[in-house]
Amino acid sequence: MPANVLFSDIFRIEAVDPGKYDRVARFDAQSIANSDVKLSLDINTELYPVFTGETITIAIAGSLGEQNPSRSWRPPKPDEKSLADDYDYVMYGKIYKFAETATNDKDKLTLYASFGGLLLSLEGNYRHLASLKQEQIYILIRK
Amino acid sequence: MKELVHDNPPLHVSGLSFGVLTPAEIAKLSVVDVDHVELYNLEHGRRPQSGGSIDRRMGVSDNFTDCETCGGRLATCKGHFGRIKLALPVFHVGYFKHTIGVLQCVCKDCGAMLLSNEAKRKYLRELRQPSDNLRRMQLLKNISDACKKTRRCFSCNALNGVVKKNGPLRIVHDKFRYVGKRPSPEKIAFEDSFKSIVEKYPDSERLVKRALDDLNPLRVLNLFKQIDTRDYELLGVSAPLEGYLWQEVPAPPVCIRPSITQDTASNEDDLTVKLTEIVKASAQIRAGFANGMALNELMNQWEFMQLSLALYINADTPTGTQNAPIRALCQRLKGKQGRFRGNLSGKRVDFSGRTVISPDPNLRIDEVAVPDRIAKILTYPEKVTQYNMKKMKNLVSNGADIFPGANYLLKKNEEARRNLRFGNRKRLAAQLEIGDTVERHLENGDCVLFNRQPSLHRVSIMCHRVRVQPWRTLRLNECACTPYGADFDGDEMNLHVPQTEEARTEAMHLMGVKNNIVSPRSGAPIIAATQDFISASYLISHKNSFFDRAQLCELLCMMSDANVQYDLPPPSIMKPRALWTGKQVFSLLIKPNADSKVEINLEARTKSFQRPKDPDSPPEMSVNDGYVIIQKSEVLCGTMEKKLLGDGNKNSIFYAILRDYGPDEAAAAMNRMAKLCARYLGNRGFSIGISDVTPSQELEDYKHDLVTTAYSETDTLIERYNDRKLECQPGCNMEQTLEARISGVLSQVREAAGDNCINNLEPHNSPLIMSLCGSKGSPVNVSQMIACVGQQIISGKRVANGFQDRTLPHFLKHSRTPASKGFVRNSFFSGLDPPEFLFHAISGREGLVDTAVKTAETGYMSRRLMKSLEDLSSLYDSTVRTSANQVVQFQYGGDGLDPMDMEGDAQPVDFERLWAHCASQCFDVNEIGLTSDEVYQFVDAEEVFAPLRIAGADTENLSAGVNERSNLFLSSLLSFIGKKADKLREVCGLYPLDMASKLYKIGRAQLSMFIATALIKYDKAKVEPGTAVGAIGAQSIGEPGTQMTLKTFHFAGVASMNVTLGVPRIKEIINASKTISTPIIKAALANNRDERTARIVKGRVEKTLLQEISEYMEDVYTASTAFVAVKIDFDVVEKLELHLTLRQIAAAITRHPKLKISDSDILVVPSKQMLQVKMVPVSGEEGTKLGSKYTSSLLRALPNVVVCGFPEISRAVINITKDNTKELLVEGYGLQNVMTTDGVIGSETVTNHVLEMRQVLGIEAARSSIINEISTTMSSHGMSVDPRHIQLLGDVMTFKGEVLGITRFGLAKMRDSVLQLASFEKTTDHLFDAAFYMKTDKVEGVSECIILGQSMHIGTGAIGVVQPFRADVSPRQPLFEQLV
Repeated sequence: MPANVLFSDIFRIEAVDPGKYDRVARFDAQSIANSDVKLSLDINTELYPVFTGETITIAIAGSLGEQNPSRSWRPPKPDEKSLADDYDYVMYGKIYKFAETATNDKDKLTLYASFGGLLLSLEGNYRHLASLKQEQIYILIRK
Repeated sequence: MKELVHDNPPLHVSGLSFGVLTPAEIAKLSVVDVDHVELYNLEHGRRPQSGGSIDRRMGVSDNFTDCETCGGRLATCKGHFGRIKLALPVFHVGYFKHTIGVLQCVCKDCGAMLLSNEAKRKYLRELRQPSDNLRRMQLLKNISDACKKTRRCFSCNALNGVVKKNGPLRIVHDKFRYVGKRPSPEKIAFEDSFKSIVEKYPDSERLVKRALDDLNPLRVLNLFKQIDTRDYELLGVSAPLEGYLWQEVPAPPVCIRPSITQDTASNEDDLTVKLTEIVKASAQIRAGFANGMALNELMNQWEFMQLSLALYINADTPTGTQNAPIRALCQRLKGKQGRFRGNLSGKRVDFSGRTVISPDPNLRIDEVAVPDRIAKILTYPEKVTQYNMKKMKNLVSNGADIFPGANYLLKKNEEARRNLRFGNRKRLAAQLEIGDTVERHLENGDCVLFNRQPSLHRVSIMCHRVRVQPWRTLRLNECACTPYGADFDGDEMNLHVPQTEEARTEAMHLMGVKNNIVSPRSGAPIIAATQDFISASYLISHKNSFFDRAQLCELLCMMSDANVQYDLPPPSIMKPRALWTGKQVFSLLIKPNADSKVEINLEARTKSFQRPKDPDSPPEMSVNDGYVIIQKSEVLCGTMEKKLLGDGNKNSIFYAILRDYGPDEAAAAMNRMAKLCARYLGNRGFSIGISDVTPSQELEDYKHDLVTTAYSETDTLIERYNDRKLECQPGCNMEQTLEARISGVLSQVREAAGDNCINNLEPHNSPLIMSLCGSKGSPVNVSQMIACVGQQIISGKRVANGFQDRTLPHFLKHSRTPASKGFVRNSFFSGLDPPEFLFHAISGREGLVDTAVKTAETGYMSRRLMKSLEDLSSLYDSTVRTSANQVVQFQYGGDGLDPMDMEGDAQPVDFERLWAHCASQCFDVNEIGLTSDEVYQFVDAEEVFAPLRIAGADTENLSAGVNERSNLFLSSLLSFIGKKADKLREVCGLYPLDMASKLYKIGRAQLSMFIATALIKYDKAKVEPGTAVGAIGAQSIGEPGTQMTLKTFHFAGVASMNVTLGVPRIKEIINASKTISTPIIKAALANNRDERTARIVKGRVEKTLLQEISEYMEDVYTASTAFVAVKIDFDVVEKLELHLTLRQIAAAITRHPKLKISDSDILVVPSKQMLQVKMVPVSGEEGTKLGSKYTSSLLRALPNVVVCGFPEISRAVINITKDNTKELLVEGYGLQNVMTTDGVIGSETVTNHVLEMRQVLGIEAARSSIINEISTTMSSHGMSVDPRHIQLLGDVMTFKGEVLGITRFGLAKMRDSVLQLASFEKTTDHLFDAAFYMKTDKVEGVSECIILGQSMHIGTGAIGVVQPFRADVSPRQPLFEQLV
């Protein structure tokens, strides 16, 4: 696992709900390895369709490894090495809130992140999520 | 050298005295004696007759002749007075009442006051004590009342009776009114004097009885001359009383009564005609004196002169004859178009323009596009300086027709300006000097005032920056429409150009659009996104919107005219394609680049928020993206819509920017939003078609099922009603119950159909999008188009029967089915059938009529409110006072805070939002947070909380001195921090440390920023000295009135207890009406759980009539006696929990005031549960015969005997509140009775009748009752009005110690200024009063200052220089000499 990856796990998709939207859907997924890690995430299904029962690898990283010196974002150069190369679907956003779980479990917490309005909620034991802080993150998904 | 500040302030009027002219003064004023009847001298070519009433010495009224006194023409001669000497005195119609008043106070024989010397001394002593005018008037009234009671003069012992008006302008003295049966010698003498006449004309004998002493003007004049000047003080006058009768009449200048000459005929003004009439009558009387004349004829002429003069003053004088009303002097002053309201209080102005308006989102919100044609006419005088010389030269040489140019040039040494349309402009431009003034065309960036009528509140006129544009309309940004109430269906607006630099700066600061983004009514933003902007924002920020780089950059360019640097954030979706979301666009709209300091933090629910699927998730996981979180100007989730962009909402994005980063940033963001949205929507397109409103087959079926079940449901209800089996709802009869039940069923139909329709429409549906984001239309409107129009309501009920027992001949008689009573089952799409169409049209017409009525009513209400509150201002000592320095409030709103700066709900700081803001702004991942103890230590060390630590400090104290903060605010701040610290302690105790630090953290920087910012916000929120709090308050109450629809609402739970709300209710309250349409007393019950005790109390309070508890009443006649038998139904008595015995009922009958039945006449028969009321023979001449009249009247009156309860209370209803406690709602008057009833908690019982509150509980209770009643009315219509405005109104209505209505009667008791009262209502009455009592107006208030053209002592005029100004009279040494 590269140094900038803060969290990584394999999930099985339990449900996909497009709601009233035709381009995005919210899916709920359960970690295969850790029974107490759950997430729900909005993704653009037009670009990256997901289906119930699929297994996906999700990683959260602090950076993609490239340097972006200017104030404005620039598209990566074609030959640039990036963490994103290993994944199919990458989003950029921010962890904006940590909250207690609904059950008031003593060592579980939920983190909430927004990728430009596409939301992630990730619930788990706080030790699993120890390296995640309230900051900018990338989420990387591959099947 | 720079000129020193020169201190020769312009003279100002410090007072205005009213009075009458003496004949000597009239003579001095006049230049000619008008004594000639002819107007024109026909022998000298129709020139005005010398000595006629249009003598040229009094000025001229045409443009071709010169005034013979001053030689001026119409433009320069302001005219001269003439005078008419009357042959006999006549009454002045304006002082007629006063004349009678004086006559009532003096002896009609000797002119002495009808008061004893002691009484005179006593009254004089009282009069001379310093007091205000209102008390003086009251005293004078007392004196007059005392005089009227005197029968015989104290000095000459003559009889004095009643002086009264007898016919128009005739006074008689009924000398013997009080003479009893034994005639006094005077009366005998008086009657004897008729003897000779009666002998001569026996017919006249019957007239003798009615003979009264006629007080003709000549007698009155002589009597007035006899009145001792020492008594003037007691009469309230100081000028010679003769002046109040006409002896000489001033003839006004000709130019105010111009003759209109057409060809050879001329048409004279009404005044001239009347003057001529007077001259003629006077001349004939005078001729009669000289040559002899029948007395009869003379009296007729005198009367005619009297009448002419009365009509000359006031054309409304009742004369008995019907002539076309003329425009007399009073009519010229009176009314809306009269001199006071039409010319003095409001004037026509120069430098203004008006045309149609149209929208332009490309303008900034503080701009107005002015057509170049207007810009070339409106000018601004700009001084030429060395800095603008080049520009000015160019303007002058361009002249009037080329834009940018100038219309006039005023050289610095010249008096008259030069017109640049003519002459050699090139030469003038070359000769331009520093110090010249160029009246140049309007140019971009000039300040102008922009206004739309009706100007209901202060933001109806605002200062915009000019942008000169081609074409013919004035254009403005749609965001600025709300304050003006403007739309573009043909509205016109006005433009005014301030002409001095001072006026411009003042206008820009006080009236600038940017400085008025929030409404002074509640502090909520009023300039905000509307309609299309909201739709577009919704579409852009929708979860479905993704933009690639090209699209994103295009949007960014759109929002800024491509002149702003945007720091492109990384795309939200980086792989497989780089895509940005609409929320990122909005983040950039708020904060375009790193240099921008705007970082707002916001959390808010949207209008259409739906809960997340998992009820434990936080609100932002909402299924429809209905919760907005913005952190550091980054939109994290939520869709933009009405609540976040629109007006009237303090959660708005623009409001957050405004509060934290100032109006410039807020306006800039709004400009970006306007441009982005208009252009985005222009590209994308947004339209509506028939497919948008076509229902699906499922919806049709669903609706059909709904309607059929509802119809059958109503059918069973109607059936049960017809069988009289329907169970009544509390407080309703069966018919009301039926109506309520049917309405309930039918409204559910529409609701269900609507919900189904909204839920099943596809998300691209345009009407749906508009209603969801709040830009236009409601879900009801959408479902009316698609599913079902629903029940038509006309004045709160279903359609009434317009035919006999039915609404239309299409239905059966007595039909109550939904269809026959106005239920429209069709949708607008499916089309209405004919009866439905008619019902819908009726309901629509009602709405139109309602609006028309409402506008007139609220307009008058606003005017009255404004007149009563206009001169209230907050002063430097933080009090609120009237212009006459009467204190109305010691601190504005109790806390001295400005409603415009209220961030929370009438609170200066929204602690939660500020806390979140500080937390986000000071967030540092690596910082270790404080512990709760450290938080407390930090706060304890803060010096700002020192006032709270003083021993015995009152933490509830709202008020604050000039440089202080209120204890209540500080303690609420402290307790808020305490709550947060406790939360921190709780979280730390529950979770492991490193987890807790992620969950909840209070940083040191955050805490200090929080405290500091909260205090700054509080300090800024203090109301500025000089603020016209009264005017703003009046507008804040008047303006929402226009938006209120007249309707009545129901009390929750009790269907039949209606309360008047809306404009009629507000009107009742501010009029301080004695009778109100729905008086309701809310009584708290001592036992508020038990239904039965509640019913017992209800029985005690509610009026119960004998007929309600009796089974029958019949008259019984036996040989020995006759009586009415009343059988009491004790079942009912028990059911009503009345606890009455037969004895008590009998006692109630004896208490009846009119029947006068004694105890002994009622026989109580307990065995039969019967009362036998004996028919008592009518006492009197007829012996013992029973009058049949008496019997029937007894039978008629007995049923209506009140056996228990209070007669003024019609009914009482037990109301069950939400928490299942019970209270009693009592309809009617009699608060005191209800309060003192057993089982009622008196201290918690209130009525909605203000005057009764005043009567029973005192003035403070009345004040809070006014405040509460207005607040509830406002809030039930969804109007947010800051409580401070309402409190001010409550204080104004009560500060005199009695409840004064906002009417002309109340106003006359609050204010003393003649001009203010005259400019309100009853103009001439106030002026005549003022002249009679010799009043002085000190010219302090707003109205007076406007009328006299002076600056008022409010706002920027509030500053007074304490240093007395001494005129420098010694010759001044020149500056150079001083240097030596």
